[in-house]
Order: sequence, then C-alpha cells, then structure tokens
Amino acid sequence: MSEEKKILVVDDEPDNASIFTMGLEDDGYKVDTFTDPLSALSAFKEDKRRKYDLLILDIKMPDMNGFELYEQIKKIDNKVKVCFLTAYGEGYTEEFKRMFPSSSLDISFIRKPIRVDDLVKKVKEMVMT
Amino acid sequence: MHGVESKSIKRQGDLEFLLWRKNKQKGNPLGNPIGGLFHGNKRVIVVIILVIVVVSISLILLYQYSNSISGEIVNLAIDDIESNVKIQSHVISRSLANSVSAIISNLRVFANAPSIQNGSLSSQTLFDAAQESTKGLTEGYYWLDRDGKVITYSQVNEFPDYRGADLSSRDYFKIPRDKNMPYFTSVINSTDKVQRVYISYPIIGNSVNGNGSGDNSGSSSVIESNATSAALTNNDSNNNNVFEGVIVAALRATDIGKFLQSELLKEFPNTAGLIDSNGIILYSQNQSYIGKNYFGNEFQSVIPAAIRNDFNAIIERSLEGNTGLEDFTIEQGNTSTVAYNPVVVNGDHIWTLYIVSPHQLAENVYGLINKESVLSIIIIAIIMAIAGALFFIIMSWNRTLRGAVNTRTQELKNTVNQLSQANEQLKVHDKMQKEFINVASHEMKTPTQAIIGFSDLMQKHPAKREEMLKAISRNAIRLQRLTNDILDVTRIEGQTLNLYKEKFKLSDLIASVVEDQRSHVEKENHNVKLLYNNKYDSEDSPIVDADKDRIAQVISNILNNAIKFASNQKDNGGTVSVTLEKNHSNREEAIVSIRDNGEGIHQEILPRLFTKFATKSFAGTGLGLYISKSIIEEHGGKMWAQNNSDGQGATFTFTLPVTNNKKNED
Repeated sequence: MSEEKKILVVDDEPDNASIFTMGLEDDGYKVDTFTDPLSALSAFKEDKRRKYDLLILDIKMPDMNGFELYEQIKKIDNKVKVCFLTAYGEGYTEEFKRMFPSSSLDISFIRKPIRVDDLVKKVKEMVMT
Repeated sequence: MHGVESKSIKRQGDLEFLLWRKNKQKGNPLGNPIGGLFHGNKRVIVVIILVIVVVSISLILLYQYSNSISGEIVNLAIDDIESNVKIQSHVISRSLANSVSAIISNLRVFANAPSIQNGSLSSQTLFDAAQESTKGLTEGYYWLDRDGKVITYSQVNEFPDYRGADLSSRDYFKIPRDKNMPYFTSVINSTDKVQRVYISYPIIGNSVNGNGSGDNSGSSSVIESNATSAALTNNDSNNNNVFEGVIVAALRATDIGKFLQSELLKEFPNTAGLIDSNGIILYSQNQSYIGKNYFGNEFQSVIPAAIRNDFNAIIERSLEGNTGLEDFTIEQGNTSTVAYNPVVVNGDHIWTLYIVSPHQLAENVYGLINKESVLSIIIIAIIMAIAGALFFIIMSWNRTLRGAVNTRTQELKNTVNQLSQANEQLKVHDKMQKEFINVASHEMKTPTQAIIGFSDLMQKHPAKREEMLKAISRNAIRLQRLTNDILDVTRIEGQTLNLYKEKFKLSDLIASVVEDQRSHVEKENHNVKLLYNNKYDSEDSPIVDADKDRIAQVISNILNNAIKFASNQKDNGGTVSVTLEKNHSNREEAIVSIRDNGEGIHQEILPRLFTKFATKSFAGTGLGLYISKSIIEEHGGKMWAQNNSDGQGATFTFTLPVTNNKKNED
C-alpha cells in the first residue's frame, strides 16, 4: 500500500483519545485527533483535501454528539466510513437507525472499553472493505 | 440522548389499558355518580306519586264499596224491621178486631136474650159470663133500661153499687137509642179519672107492655145482619120493634193498651197506637195523649214540624181504611217505620192500629258496619303506611347504597388517579434510574478504557512508561471515586446509608478538613486563599451528633468545588472562606457556609444543582452534591446554594442540629 490510510479520531476524553491515536499510529495509520467535535468539524471543512478513510467518533460528547458530527462530515464526504465508540448498550442502534434509516455497511459500532489490539483489528477490517 | 424504552412497558401498558377502558365506558352510571343520583330522584318521586295515587284510589273505592255493602245490609235490616212491623200490625189488628168482635157478640147476645128483653134479672149470670169471656179487654157489661138507668152489671157484687144510676145523658145511651145502632165511643174521662171507651148496643125487642109482639125470631134476624150500620127496623109503624134499653161494654183505655202491649213481640222495640175514626187517640205509648184528638192543636204541636205534614198524611191515609207501611224520619239518623192497619169488626172500620218501630236495630247494624268498615280502613291504612314505610326504608337503603357505591367509585377513581400518578412518578423514576445507570456505566467505562488502553500500550512505548503509569493511576483513582460515589448513591436511594454517629465538636472537624485542603491547594499550586472563620464563642462551641467521616466528606466535597471555581478567578485571586456560626432563628442549629469568588453557578444548572450527574465539570463524578445533600438531610439538616449578591461566585450552606450537651456529658 503506497497510500497511508488516514483516520480521524474524535473523543472528548483526552486519555482515551491519545490511547486510540497511539494504538493506530503504531499500526501505521495516519491519525488526526480531536477532543472537541466542533474543532474537528471546522478543521475538516477548512481543508478540503482532508479525506479520511475512516472516522472513529465517540458518541457522547458535549456540544455535538458523534452522530451529528458524522452527519455534518457526510455532507462533505458522502462515502466516508465511520466507526462509533460507545460505552452504552444496544440503545444507540435504535437511535442510529432512526437518524440514518438507510443503513449501510460502512458503519459499525465499537463498544468501550476495548483492547488496543481489538481496536486495530476492527479498523483494519473497516478500512480494507 | 434518549435511552431505551424502559422494560416497565408491560406495567405501564396494563395501567394505561385500564384507564383507556374506563374512559370508554362514559355511559356507565357508576362512572357518572351525580347524574345517576339525579335521575334516581326523579324516578323515585314519580313512583312515590304513583303509589300514593293508587293507594288513595283504592282506599276511596274500598270506602265506597264498604259503604254500599253496609247500605245494603242496612236496607236488609230495615226490610226486616218493616216486615216485622207489618206483620205485627196485621196480626194485632186482627186480634184486636177479634176481641172486639167477641165483645159485640156478647152485646148482641144480650140484646137478643129474652131475659133481657123481658127485663128479667136472671140474666145476671149472663153478664158475669160475658165479662169473664172478655175480661182481658172489658171492665164490665152494663144493662141500662130504656130511661138510661143502670139495671145491673157484671160482677155486681164486687163493685160499688151503681144500680139505678142515671146514665141517660151519655152518648153511649142516647145514640143507640136514637139511631138504633151499635155505637163506639171515643175516650171518655169518667168522674173517677179513668179513661174508658164504651161500646153500646141497643136492645130492641117486643115491649114488655105489649107494644106489639112481632115475631121474636125477626128481631134476631135483624140483629144478625152483618151490616151493623144498616138500620135496624125503626120503631115507627112496625110496632114490633121497641127500644128497651142499652147494653154497654166498658173498656178501660189502659186495658186496651195492655192488650196491645201483650200482643206486641217483646224482642222488638215496637210501640203501638190506636186511633178511632174521629182521630181521637184511644191508646198511645205516652198515655197522656189518650183521649186527645190527633188533629187537635195540642197533639199537632207535639209532632215535629218537619214531618208534621207527612205524618198527618199518613194518618189520613190510614183513617181511610188503608193498610200501609211508611218510613218517617224525626231527626237526622232517627228513622222509624209505621205500619197501620184498620181494625175491622163486622165489616166496620172502627179503629186504626199503628205499630211504630224505630230503626234502632238498623242503626245499630249501621253503626257496627261503620265501625267495622272504619276498622278495616284503618287496618288497610296501617298496612299501607307500613308498606309506605318499608318502601321509604328500601328507598333510603337504595340511596345509601347508591351513595356508598358512589363513594366507593369516587374512592376507586381517586385510587386510580393516585395509582396513575404513582405510576407516572415510577416511570419518571425508572427513566431517571435508567439514565443514572447509563450515565454511571458510561462514566465507569471511561477510566476503565484508559487503564486498559495504557496498560496495552505500555509495552510498545517504554519511553512513555512514567507518563502512562501516572495516567493509569489517575484513572484508577477516578474509577475508585466513582465506584464509591455510585455505591453511596445506591445506599442513599435504597435507604441503607448507615451513619456511625458520635458526638464531636463541629469546629474541630471543619478546621482539620480545611487544613487538609490547604496542603492540597499548595501542592496543586492553586492561587487560592483559604479562610476559616468560627463565629461561636469557645464555651458555646457546637457539639453535633453525627457521622464524622460523612460530614468530613461533605465539607471536603464543597470545599473542593469552591477551590476549583475560585482558582479560575484570574483577576483578584481566588478566595474561599469557610464560616461556622449559630443559626439565630433556630438556636438548635449550626450553619456552615463556604463561599468562593469564582464565576458562580449558571442559572440553567441552579435548579438541578443537587441532582445526580447534573454537572460534570472538572472531572468530578457529578454525584458529589447529590450525596452531600443527602448526607446532611439524613442528619436532619438542610443544604442549599446560591450565587453571591455581589455577583462574584457562589455560597454553599448547610445546617446541622446541635446537641446542647457538651461532649462527655449526658
């Protein structure tokens, strides 16, 4: 693979954000990390060249939750893949299905807490397809 | 974000179904108590009116029927009386007629007896025998000679001697002598004050002086003629008939009366009366009327004016020889029946007999029947009254029942309301619980993720080991705090928060907590001033009976928050002041207030300040204030917060009850 895969990680918990970032960078991905969804969005909008192979978004965040952020990014990059981090149970699946009725295979959920190896494995799957 | 619909859908659904079904049944009378009662009342009134009308009509009909029945019975009784009177009158008049006939026979026998005609005194036995035969009625028989002098009379030896008395002036001598006819007198008051009636018969015969001797048989044949009023051959040319004298039968009016009385049946309250053809009263119940003329003023005035005309008409009819039966009413309720019969002797209507019977019996019967009908009506009225009373009792039971049902229905409604309210609260509580669990689990997973993540990465990043260990440690502590807080919350909610109370000086505890924080503040390098002001006098220092660790937890929690807020105050430097003072409006309480000059509490957060996970600033657990308030309230105190009036920062205050006793004293 000549191209590096680019991943966007957004999580309001700085410790967790750094864990995900470090874990993915160790596996050779280029990772952009934000702890504030608004900053992430504005950065994404500013630089049109930014194109991510995968978004890893925490759902429960202040100011803007993961779904909303994804929606905003989708307006710019319709085909972007996303992986939602959730500490909650299946509840969010319902919420998600309501917001995005046409579900697509490009969306998946990761349940926190997750082992770094498992995260890396999951990301590999998502990026490859 | 919304949580999952709670698993209490089933519970909720059941109650909703019940409520829905209840609302559907709007027409159910139980569901509309006021309307039901009102309709019931209308119906009840209509039924009551109907019952009263029916009962009244029944009573009236019953009364009418009873009246008519009693009227018929009375009529039967009257008929009975009337027939009795009629029969008696018939029988007695015949009997009297027969008796008078016997007297007349005797007189005739005398008149024809040769010994009489001859003037022989051997006929004395005849007189005695005659008197004997009619002694119930006659007082005696008298023989008067042609000059009206008494020759002899019956039982001559037993009476004072009247022989030779001159009775020529008497009508009973003159009229037979002149008219050659038997004669009935009216009532005559004799000199001895005794009222009498006389029947006299002329003696016609061959003259003793030889005034012609007709055939003796002829005179008897003449005298045997039935028409006593037919003229006996006069004594003109037929010189065989000569007036020889008069035979008189004397009857006492009282004897007539006794005769009549004896004939009357004693079982009936009948009275008899006898009037002759001139209207002279020969006998009446009231013996003072004997001898009076019925048509005279004296008697007429005795008759009640109302019936006088009718009564006179009756008498006149009777005097014409009719037989009759009539009712007359003297006064209200005093009706009598009079039966009249002519007393006919030898075809002549000599007297008229009256039998009067008051309708006493009938009135007695009427009275009895009235009593009976009144009694039966009273009984029926009583039964109706009892029925009415039962009816009212039942209606009142009905009303009571309905009232009870309505009350119960209302109670049920209230209960349903309460239940639905409680259910609403439960739902809310459930939701809050679910939210709490969600938030709590999320909160727990976050530091857990950090611990796991850094542990995983530490191998590959040996250079960052120190950093990572610190992060792990930090997150482990955070997790521990959170776990403790969640456990506290669980205990508080489950009311199993155990307080290990002891008596201690509150001021000392505050001082020690403040000192702990002071060293912490210095370590963290916050630019915060920490002040403690105890406003109690040392003798008065408040003793509280409380869980020391828990109170320390509360003070610590508030102090931490205050320091964090104050440390953000860049301009003046942060100040946190702790004050302990007496509550002057309630001397049983001590007040602790912790004031900071940070940015204050946002208005939106203020109402939710002491709820679970209200705020999560500065990596606190979000449960601290909720737990603190609960602990204070468990001790019987209160806790609140407000922004400072000078606009700089906020003050958190709590109170604790103070025990008056000093430590170690009981």
